[in-house]
Amino acid sequence: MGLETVGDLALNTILTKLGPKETAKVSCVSKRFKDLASEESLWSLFCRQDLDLSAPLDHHRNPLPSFKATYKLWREAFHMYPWPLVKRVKSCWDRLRSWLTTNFPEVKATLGKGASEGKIQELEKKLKVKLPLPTRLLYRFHDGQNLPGQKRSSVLPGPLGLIGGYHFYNHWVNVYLLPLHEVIIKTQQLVRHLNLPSTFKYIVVAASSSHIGKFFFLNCSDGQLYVGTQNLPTDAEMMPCVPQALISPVHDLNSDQQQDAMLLWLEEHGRRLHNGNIKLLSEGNIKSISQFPEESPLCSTAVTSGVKVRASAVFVPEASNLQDISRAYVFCLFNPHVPSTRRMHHQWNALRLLPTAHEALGYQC
Amino acid sequence: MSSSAENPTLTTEITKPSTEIATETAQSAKKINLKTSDDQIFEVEESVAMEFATVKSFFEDAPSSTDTVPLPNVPAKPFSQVIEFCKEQIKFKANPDETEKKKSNSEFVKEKTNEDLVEMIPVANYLEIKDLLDVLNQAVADRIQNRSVEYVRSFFGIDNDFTSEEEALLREEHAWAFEDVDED
Repeated sequence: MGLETVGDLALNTILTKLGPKETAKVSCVSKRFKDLASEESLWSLFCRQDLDLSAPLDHHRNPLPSFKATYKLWREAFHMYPWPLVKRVKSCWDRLRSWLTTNFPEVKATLGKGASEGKIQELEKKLKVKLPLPTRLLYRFHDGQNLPGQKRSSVLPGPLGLIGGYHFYNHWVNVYLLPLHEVIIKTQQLVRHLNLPSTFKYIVVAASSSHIGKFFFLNCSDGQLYVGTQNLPTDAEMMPCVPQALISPVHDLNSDQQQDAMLLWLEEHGRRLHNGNIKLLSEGNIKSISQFPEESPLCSTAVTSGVKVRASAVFVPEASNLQDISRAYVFCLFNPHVPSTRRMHHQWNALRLLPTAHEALGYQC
Repeated sequence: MSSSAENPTLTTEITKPSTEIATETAQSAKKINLKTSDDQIFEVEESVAMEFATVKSFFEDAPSSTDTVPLPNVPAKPFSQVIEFCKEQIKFKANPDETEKKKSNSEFVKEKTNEDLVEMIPVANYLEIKDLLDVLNQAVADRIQNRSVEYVRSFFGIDNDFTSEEEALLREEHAWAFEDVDED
């Protein structure tokens, strides 16, 4: 008495419990196991569990003939990365993409096709850096954003930045994710312009598409993300964007827990978009992602003269310096409940504010 | 295997003459006779027998039956272990305690050989004992997790029916799954 009396159903259940890797392995045990382990229902389950896929699609969202082929292709395409990290980066992008699909498809259309390993290596060679694994993976899924009209410098592209921004007076900021070829150009330009040492381990990963110089730098050695302050052009002054304590070793291939600031930052951005903490702003027919928080505790509500107003502040790193951060905040009032004739209709009332500890925000966008 | 004489220790506890069992239990609960594929008769308390969905539906169809119920797909050896499991389960029915139940399940599994586990699966399947099937499937999965192909073959006692070329091809096709396999 042995295996022949054990029904296919029980073996199928065992394979479900074993998971995808073991199921693939037992294909080599015997012909019966090979047939059992080829069941599409199993692989459809594994694709859903690991990758949240409901259709057999590769990481460029091209259709494939089966879930089994799909799962294998994903594992092979990302074999150089810890699998839990692949799942996490995918889910980070899924969240962002799902918000964009519903709220801002124009931005979704700008997301670049995933970069190849070769393209990433080319960047590493040119800039003499080694990208942290989470950032590498983020680029494998989407090579930043390709904004229309970017080539002609006289024409500003629409505010299609995935990170978004704010404006007050004539200060207009809209941050987008740079595609790798722009990362190379912008980093080289800034290194030259700021006269930085050739051992500079930072790369520019995001910038404002406006004429305002707002730049986000990833430190490729420790995985922290920095944003340039007012003193960037003179002193290369930057401030960190993500609480340092959250960042885990980023070059250790065997660590499943690694997270660099780029991943943490985008995950936080996805959370804020989904929980409505930051929202889409429409002014006339121009839409953009507004960085002004719209939920408490970062947004306050008060009733004045019978009118309910909400207000929140945003820290503006590129207009502040670390010696004197009192000039660092802009303040925004929204008034969505006033009848439309009197409605300020998302007009910003920009005021200079005394600082409320910007650490409270945790993440800097 | 055709008679209990060949394997006298196997079922002594359960197949004692009915008079002895009656004196052991305070109130004489209703007993049901079940006959295994190797012709052994097990006298089982009704509450235990009702854990077997297959037996339960037999009595639902014929409530007053006093006949011995044949279990043509069930050999005595795994059956006695299945009864052991169900007796434990019944205790938790009256007094649900998930932690204790888990502990009892894992102890049950721990002392079983690989062969025991594999032999019980078809019995649990035939008798439709869902909890036991879950426990057994999980136990088998745990025992072959991260093990080599050769280990899985010996675990189930099966022969490799691939030619060496076929196997080499398959291993190549599934190369991504062959990292970090534990040593046997």
